[in-house]
Amino acid sequence: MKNKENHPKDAFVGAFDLHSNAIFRYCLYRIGDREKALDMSQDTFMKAWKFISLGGSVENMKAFLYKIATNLIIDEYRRRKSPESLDNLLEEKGFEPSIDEYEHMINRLDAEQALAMLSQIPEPYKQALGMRFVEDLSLKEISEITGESENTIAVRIHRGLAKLVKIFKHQND
Amino acid sequence: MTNEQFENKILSQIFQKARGVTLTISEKIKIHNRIDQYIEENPLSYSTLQKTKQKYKVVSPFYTRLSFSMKLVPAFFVALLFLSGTSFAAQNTLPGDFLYPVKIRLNENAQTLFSFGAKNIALTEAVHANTRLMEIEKLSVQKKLNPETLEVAKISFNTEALNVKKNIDELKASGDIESADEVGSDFESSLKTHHTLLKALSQKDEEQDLKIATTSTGTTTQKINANVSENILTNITDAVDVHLKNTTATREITEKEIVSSSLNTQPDALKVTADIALKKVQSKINEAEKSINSNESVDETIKADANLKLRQAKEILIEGQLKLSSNSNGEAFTLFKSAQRKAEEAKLMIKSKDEIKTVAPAFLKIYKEEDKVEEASKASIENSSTTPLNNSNTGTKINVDIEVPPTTTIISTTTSSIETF
Repeated sequence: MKNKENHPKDAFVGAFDLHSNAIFRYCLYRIGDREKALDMSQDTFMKAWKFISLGGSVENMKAFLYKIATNLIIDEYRRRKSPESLDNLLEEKGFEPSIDEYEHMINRLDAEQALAMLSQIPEPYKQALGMRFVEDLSLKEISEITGESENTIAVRIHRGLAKLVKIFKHQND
Repeated sequence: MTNEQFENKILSQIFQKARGVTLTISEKIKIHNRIDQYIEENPLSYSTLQKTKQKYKVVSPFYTRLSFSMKLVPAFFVALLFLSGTSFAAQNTLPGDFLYPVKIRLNENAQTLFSFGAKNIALTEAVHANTRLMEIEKLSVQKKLNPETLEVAKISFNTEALNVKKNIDELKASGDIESADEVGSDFESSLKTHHTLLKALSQKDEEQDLKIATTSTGTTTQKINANVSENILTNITDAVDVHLKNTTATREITEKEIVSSSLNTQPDALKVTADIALKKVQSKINEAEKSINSNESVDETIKADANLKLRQAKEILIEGQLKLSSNSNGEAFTLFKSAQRKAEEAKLMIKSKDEIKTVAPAFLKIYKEEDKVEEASKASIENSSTTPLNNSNTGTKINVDIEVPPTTTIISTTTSSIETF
């Protein structure tokens, strides 16, 4: 029977248990590819540990992990072409389902589909929206992670919400 | 319903469902193993190890990973400090207090060191995990919770909770599944109580901090006071929820193993097991009753609800006794364990009375809702039916921070965080 050990590895493993799902989800809706998101999540924690093992100081582990993940996502975007704007796909159509029909559609939606819908929103709204409403980060935390002002984040959230509603209606027309 | 209200509803449902996306168990294990390997290949240097301990405000020049005899040094140091009153003074400190490192690094180390036997070590670790949560709750009630102090307490809680899990697994591996079940069952009750209290405190903070501000540009906005406290409590609540689900799952498996291993030994072994469980639950109910009745400073509402929980425990006990008398010993055992957990929860409500008092209505409401969900889930498993995905009856309210031209709008959504293994 082991006695209590206070090695930072235990604390880091604790941080992994706490944040791994959130980091994975963040990578998934930003990238849209599960396998890639898994690799990125793993790389995020490895890079975090590397930093700590070399003597780096981490004040806020959660923000630190998100920053690493964000940088990995940016690298991935650079390797790809930017996604086309979906604005031209979001034109209003003639038929508008009723509220009851929308209710039915939302009930059929599963978790993966909901996240996929989010991933269709153009950047940088997608990042702001996901961090605020899926990961429950405050404006202050998002601002710290992204380096943008809280006002900018607030505007992106507002515009992102409008786009998400359009995407939902468009997909269910 | 207006169009805007409906759109808000769509949005809240989308976000709620999106949170349901998680790593699968095998994915998580795979990544965990790779990270473990990476850590082995990239260990901390000694100087980095010292620096990392200091970052967490740990002052422990006496604790090293050397021989067992060296580990006795903290215990002797505690003895010396106790004589001077320092250790005693440290015992009720909270994260951020000057003597807090003495409490967690010396007092608690000594407690673990002097816990003999696998079960006692596991129980001590569970007490420490509980203490971390009580500290967070106290700080929240005192409005002293900030990101830094919470980060320390949260990582410590996670470490302690993982230690409890490891100890329970080791008890099972050594063949002592009864002790594993006992430790797991009590830990589950305490996590459930803390989870409910943290949720209630989180709701209270959120309601108090919503306000309207005018920006310097003159645009009228509806701005959330980026409620750090509320978001932090949401995070720690999610962490507790994860450990609660794990502990519950392990406990359910362990109870089934106890029943099946009893069936595989002597013919009346299961009856003996059920009889022992009956005695334990009767003792637990007596403890809880004593705790409720002997504490005069308890708020009447909390007392009433603790008594209600105790009545539920007694009802389940009677149900178990009926099963026992009709030789359904396996079912009787499971019912006695359930009654024991209810009695433990009643006892814990009295223990956390000061914190619960500040949020009593919300706490009791959430407790009752969670009991209903638990009952519905059990009934659903028995009827082999699935529950709908979009349960809109639980969760924490969140508000949107948006910047708009003259007309301001609040989008109020109900969401719940789902974290699964």
